Amino acid sequence: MNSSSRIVLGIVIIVAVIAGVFAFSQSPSTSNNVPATKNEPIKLGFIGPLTGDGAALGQNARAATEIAVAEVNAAGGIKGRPLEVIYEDGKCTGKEASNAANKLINADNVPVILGGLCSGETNSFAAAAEQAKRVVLSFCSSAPSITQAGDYIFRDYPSDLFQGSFAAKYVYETLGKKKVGIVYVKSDWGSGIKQVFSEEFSKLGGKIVAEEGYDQAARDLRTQLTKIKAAKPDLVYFLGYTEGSTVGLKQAAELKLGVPILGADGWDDPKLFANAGAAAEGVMYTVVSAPLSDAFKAKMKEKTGSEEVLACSPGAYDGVKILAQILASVGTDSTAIKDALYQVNYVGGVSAARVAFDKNGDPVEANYVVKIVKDGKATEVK
Amino acid sequence: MERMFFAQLVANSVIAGALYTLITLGFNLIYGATKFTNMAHGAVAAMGAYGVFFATREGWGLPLSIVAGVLVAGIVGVITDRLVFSPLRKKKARASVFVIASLGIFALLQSILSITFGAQFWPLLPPGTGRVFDIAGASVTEVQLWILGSAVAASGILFILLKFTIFGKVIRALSDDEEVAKMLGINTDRMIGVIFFLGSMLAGLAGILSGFDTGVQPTMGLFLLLEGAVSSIVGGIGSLVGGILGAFLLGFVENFGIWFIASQWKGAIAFGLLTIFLIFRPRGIMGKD
Amino acid sequence: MSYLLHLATFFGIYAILGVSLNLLIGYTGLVWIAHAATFAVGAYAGALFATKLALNFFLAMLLAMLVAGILGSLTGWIFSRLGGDYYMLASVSWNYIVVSVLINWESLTNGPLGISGIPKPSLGELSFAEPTKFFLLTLVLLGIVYAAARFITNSSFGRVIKAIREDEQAAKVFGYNTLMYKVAISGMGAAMAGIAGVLLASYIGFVDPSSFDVMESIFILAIVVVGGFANIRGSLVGALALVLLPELLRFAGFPAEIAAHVRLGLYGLALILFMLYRPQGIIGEYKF
Repeated sequence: MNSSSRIVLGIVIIVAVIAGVFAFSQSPSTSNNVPATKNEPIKLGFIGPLTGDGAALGQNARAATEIAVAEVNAAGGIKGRPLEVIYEDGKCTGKEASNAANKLINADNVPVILGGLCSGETNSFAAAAEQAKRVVLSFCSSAPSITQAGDYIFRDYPSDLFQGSFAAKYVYETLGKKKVGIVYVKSDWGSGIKQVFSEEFSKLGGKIVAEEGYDQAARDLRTQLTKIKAAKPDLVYFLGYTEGSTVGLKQAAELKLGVPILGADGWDDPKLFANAGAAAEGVMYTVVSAPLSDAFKAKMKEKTGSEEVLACSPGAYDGVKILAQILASVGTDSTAIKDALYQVNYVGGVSAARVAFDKNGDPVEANYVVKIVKDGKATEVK
Repeated sequence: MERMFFAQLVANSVIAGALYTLITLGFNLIYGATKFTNMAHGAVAAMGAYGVFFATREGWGLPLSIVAGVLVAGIVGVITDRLVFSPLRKKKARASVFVIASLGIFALLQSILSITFGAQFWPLLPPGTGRVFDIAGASVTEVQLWILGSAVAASGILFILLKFTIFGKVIRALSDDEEVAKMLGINTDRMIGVIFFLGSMLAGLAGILSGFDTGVQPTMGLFLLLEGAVSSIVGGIGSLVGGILGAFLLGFVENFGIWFIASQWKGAIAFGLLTIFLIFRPRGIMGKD
Repeated sequence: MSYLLHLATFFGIYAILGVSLNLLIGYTGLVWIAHAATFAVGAYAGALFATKLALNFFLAMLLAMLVAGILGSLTGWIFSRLGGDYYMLASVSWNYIVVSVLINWESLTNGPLGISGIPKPSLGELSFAEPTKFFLLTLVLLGIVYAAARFITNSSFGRVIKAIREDEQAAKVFGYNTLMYKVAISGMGAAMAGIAGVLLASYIGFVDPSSFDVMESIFILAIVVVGGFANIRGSLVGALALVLLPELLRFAGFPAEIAAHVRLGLYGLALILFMLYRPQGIIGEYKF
């Protein structure tokens, strides 16, 4: 063996020996208590898209989180200790989110992760968090599959079982359309809503004349839209995130689709309307209706400069407030936090009149409205 | 299949074929001279598109921006040749070295775009720009007509250039046999640089038009390159006419293929076609054995 | 400490990938830009065996190796008849096709949603879930792959594949069925990549198609280039360098949004610079 071989082998052996001694002399780590030094901050993790698809929603939710954290700390923190949030960019993809979660759980040792925003994010790390017994509180993930994700997995945003049914009823009964073509992004969220909508709409007596999926990264939906146009629907149900929908709406206009378009909560993004311009005129979408308070709206406006509070922010704000209360009463042990969450009965929040969790960790209330886009702004359809 | 739908598919196929033609022309030109697959070609196309993105954001106005974008692409292409491929040629590196280096350039260029402009997708034109025409029942946008027109013009100009000018003859001599060309006194290294400039400008144009058609994203280069490479191989590497045929064949197979297969498989169709050709007819439609 | 362990585990996984790719590119001259796809096949196969069929991790790994190896041999058989550039392009297109299948064949792969809840390795009472133990497992597997690679390349089989790299025509003239050798090495390299795939799937607990695109294949290529072609130890060095590099960036304070892009740019730059000025890599002797 020549000299460089020997060196490499030597290093490997030394590393292995150290690691081996370390591994077998330690008991498996279950403690996730943050050292209780007087003024050490209590850290939570946040995962959401800060760039890429849904970045506007993510940044808005971050702003709401920061406001909530500032309020908690201004009122004395958690029994004197400041609350701190570590923000990680999930990019609305499973891969980034699961890496972010691994880091938050293993390196930062947080007891709770506030997030993900996109369902794909949450689903990618829910199992790992469950295994590590860390609490996950998602403020925007709506895929029905999350209901069964685990004992430690919560959300204060309703499952799309409700959104899909709401949309199906609205299309069939209120809009009176009987034939629908669906174009949907192939993600947890998109596939999830499509599934529910199809079932409900068919049960009501409607017909799904076409179903075309597209990759989240696809920017040319003309193929899908051409096939949908050929199927002659009365309405197109378009389930997409910001970037795909921007191109999709423009291409639908170019292809002269000619029928009304209904979207879902992923469209609650001003960037979408701004970029799609005339192509977005008259489109509608369903979104969770949150009571919001004037105080909250004012603070958001001060922080973000915009009147619009986006879909995921109320849940993030309430999430922080609820967690702060729980941390103050039971401390930082994640199992204790989990148990306390199931007992929560939070009123006066901005995301819903009452926030409480059912046995699956899902919120007990779900209310939706339909918004319509006119002149680049979305307003509620009364 | 209903007539309107058929017309739309035909239109979509023709536009796709035209776009791929622009890429394959540049790609084939460079391949002919250098005999390796330049994986950076797509990134150069992206550069052109972002050149326009930058210029329009600075308020330069559309025509000037397009010129700027095309020039940026050409210049970047030449730089990659001067800095990387030319030295490698002098070292007489083997073909795989060129390819690996070109992969490196591709990754580097793409990352520069991501860092400078961000990774997200931007439309290149403000919404609502350009008219939409109804041609035999198919909706075709103004931009798409520009794509078709550019492809025709570029092919025509290139054809005339190669066949009837001395410059063109030099290029052909070089592509045929670099050694002989050198012996004839042609400064092959400099000529290859010029060829890179031309080919890269074509790539830039393709990128710009693709950007107008949908939008720009730093990752747009790879897809364009692969479509161009598939077109070239299917048509017969080294043959410009073959490249054009390959481009249109690809466009048609992709767009008509989705009538039978679910549309999400569209991307894989190109590569399926490539695989089939590589197995059964590697020399392509027009290639010589 | 735990973050260091995290990096070390990634090093181990990518070292396996680097070594296995080196067998194809460095030793046999097959420029395969689809190792991420091979990696993906192993990862998904392992994930499916471990979740849907609830097989023991080690059994799942063996089966995944088999699946990856067979598929690798098949693609080797189909593609390696092609000359240099065409082989490379075919490999890129193969990468694309595999990712497309992973995204679209939803009934098998769960599409873009990916497969989550992949268990950590265990053998009866002994569990490797704890990070340190997992790292040791990775190291052991790396050791096995390393030894296997050394064995292959130092044997007479190894001599033949090197001859194929240098002059395939000559090898044929001497009576060697070069295609079969290429198929064999493609299969072996693929099986090794399968090991890495199952390790990664278990480590993160989640796989989805987006981790296995052409960029990832370029990254693995960079490991081989930086370490040195035809140098097994070199691939370890290359993996070490390329896994640690982004971490140095983190300390240099690059904001999170652009860190990933800077990393990609550096890999690209590394490929360019090494090809220009040091084609033999850091510790290679073989000049490509």
